[in-house]
Amino acid sequence: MEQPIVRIQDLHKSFGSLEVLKGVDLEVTKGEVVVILGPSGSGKSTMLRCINRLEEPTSGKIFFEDQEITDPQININRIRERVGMVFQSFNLFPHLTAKGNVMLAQQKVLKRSKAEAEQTAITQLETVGLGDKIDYFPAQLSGGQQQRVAIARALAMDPHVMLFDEVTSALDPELVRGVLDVMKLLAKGGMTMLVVTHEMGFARDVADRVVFMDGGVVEEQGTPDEVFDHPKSERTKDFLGHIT
Amino acid sequence: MRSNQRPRALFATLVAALFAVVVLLPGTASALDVTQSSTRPNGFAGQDTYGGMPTRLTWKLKIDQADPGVQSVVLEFPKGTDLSKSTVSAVKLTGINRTPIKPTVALDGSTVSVTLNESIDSLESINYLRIQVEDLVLPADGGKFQINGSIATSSGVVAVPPATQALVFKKMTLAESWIFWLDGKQWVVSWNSVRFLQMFFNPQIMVASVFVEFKGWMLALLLVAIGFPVAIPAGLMLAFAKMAKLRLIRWVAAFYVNVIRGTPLFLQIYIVFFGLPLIGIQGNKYVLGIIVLALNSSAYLAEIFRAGIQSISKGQFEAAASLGMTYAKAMQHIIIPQTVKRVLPTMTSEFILLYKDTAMLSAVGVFELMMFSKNLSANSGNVTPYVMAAAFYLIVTTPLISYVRTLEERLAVAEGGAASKPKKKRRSRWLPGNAGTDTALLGTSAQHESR
Repeated sequence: MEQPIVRIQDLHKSFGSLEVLKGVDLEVTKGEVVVILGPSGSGKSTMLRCINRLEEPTSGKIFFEDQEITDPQININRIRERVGMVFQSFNLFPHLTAKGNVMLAQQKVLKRSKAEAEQTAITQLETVGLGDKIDYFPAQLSGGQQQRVAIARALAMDPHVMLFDEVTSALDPELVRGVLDVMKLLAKGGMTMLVVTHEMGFARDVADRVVFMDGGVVEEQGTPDEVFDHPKSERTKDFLGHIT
Repeated sequence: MRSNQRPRALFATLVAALFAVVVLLPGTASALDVTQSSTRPNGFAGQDTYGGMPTRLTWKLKIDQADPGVQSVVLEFPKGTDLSKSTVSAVKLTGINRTPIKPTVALDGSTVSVTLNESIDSLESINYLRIQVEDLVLPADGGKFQINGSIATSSGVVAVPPATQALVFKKMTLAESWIFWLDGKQWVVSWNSVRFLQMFFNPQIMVASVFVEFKGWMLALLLVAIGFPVAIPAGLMLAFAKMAKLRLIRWVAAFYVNVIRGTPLFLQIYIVFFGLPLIGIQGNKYVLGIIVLALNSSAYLAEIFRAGIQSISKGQFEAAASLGMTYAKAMQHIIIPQTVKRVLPTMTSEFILLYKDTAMLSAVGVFELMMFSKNLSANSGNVTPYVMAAAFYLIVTTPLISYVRTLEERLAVAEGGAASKPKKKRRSRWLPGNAGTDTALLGTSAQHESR
């Protein structure tokens, strides 16, 4: 078996007295698309945010390409350069154009030249179908378009893995498709992806593996067929029953 | 030989001069003496006499006991003096008694001839002859002169003795000429006959105020134009200090901000102006003024900046972090630029406040706008200088207030109504953050997304 790119071992995370993650173990191999499902409050997003340490794990270990990122000595910014993340609320920089959003970190973090950053930005924005919107400000774009800019922004850093945190949840239904299409394209291109979503259709079509989380632990995982059609756990059955 | 002659000649001259002073001085005391020769100040402020507008000459002649009786006086004014509207009066002053005299007066060009019906001498007691020429208009170009002329006495005609000081009169400034022009207008007289208008909107004093207060206005602007930019980085540092990880730094910054915001600026001015010199910090009052304004404003700006930074959503920090940006880089490239946009209206309001607060520096003798208007008001006994000072303040604040409003509206539009509500007329434009209404700018991509 291939070496895992992300390895999570016995991850715990508490917010005050509330324990959100109660020992999560997960491995993701290179090129794999892992969709994480689960009811609200099951800890999906928290686990995702621990991978680039937007949340500090309470205990447990996380490895990224054999580097232990939970090591306090590590320069987390070096890791974050290689871990792209897309948020539910887009979080585009409103004072910059679409192009500016995609260029900024390339120049300031990766120290790319302006010309190179600009070229990459244009390429990435074209990839997500926004070649004609490069000079628009976020406020001039629809939610779906903003989210695609956010994806382009993350991709421009040449990440080794992409984290998607409920990226379609804040979108009007008619805008969801455009974003999912971009994600499918990425998956086909061999990008390693961890996707927290409620889009069952996407999970079934695109996921290599579906992880069902509940109560702060991984309840069940397997191929989409296994999890959707033959769930073993009662809670998975219950959850899927309510959704579909 | 030659070289010795010069000092000797000099010495001789000195001795002669000394002799002349000692011997001749008592003689001059008994001659006719001009004890006063002055004109009434006719400017809107100060003690100066201006040519080209009416003034009054007062000329006083002392007649000593040994002097022959004075029968008539001819006073010659400089060429170009206008006496056409003048009236002349003469008084005999004896001790504290004044006896008006009805002399025969002849005005000829720039010469006044006063012939007394009865000569004045000082055989019984020392008498003075005082002549006043009203509505005398000296040449407009200004200058300096001694009154020439002659005095006819019982023992012959003598020249008018020079006064101790020459008469000085100035060329009219623009302000004086405007005021003089206004003085002569009937509508101004009518206007000023209404007590309220005369006290609050006196046209002549308005003109005077514009000229006098302009300097103060410039100074007020200068004080705030230097003080405010100094306060901005100070305020930013305080804002970061208030958000620092170290509790001590937070505490110090919060203490400073609370003390400044919790005490009157007036008090702070007193402390700086009287306190700093006592501990050896000697600055001129303009520097001290700038310091106190900057100290004061930095505390308010700190709160504005802190609120501005904290109003930026956590998501912005997270997005920056997820791209591998350090806290400093995120601040510099993402948070601060957005904060600036957001705090610009509040910052402008703070600028307006600080600009108005320069008025308080008048309490410690800084000659800014308020100080000048206070002086002018006291001189003229009129409220108009204050009204004009208000106008000077408003020239700056009114456009800024509307600028603040524009900024707020623009911000509201840019942030989807997060600040104050945009005006109705702007409703037709796109409302960002609301995908349903931005169809105007969506174009082809929107059609693509809506399947």
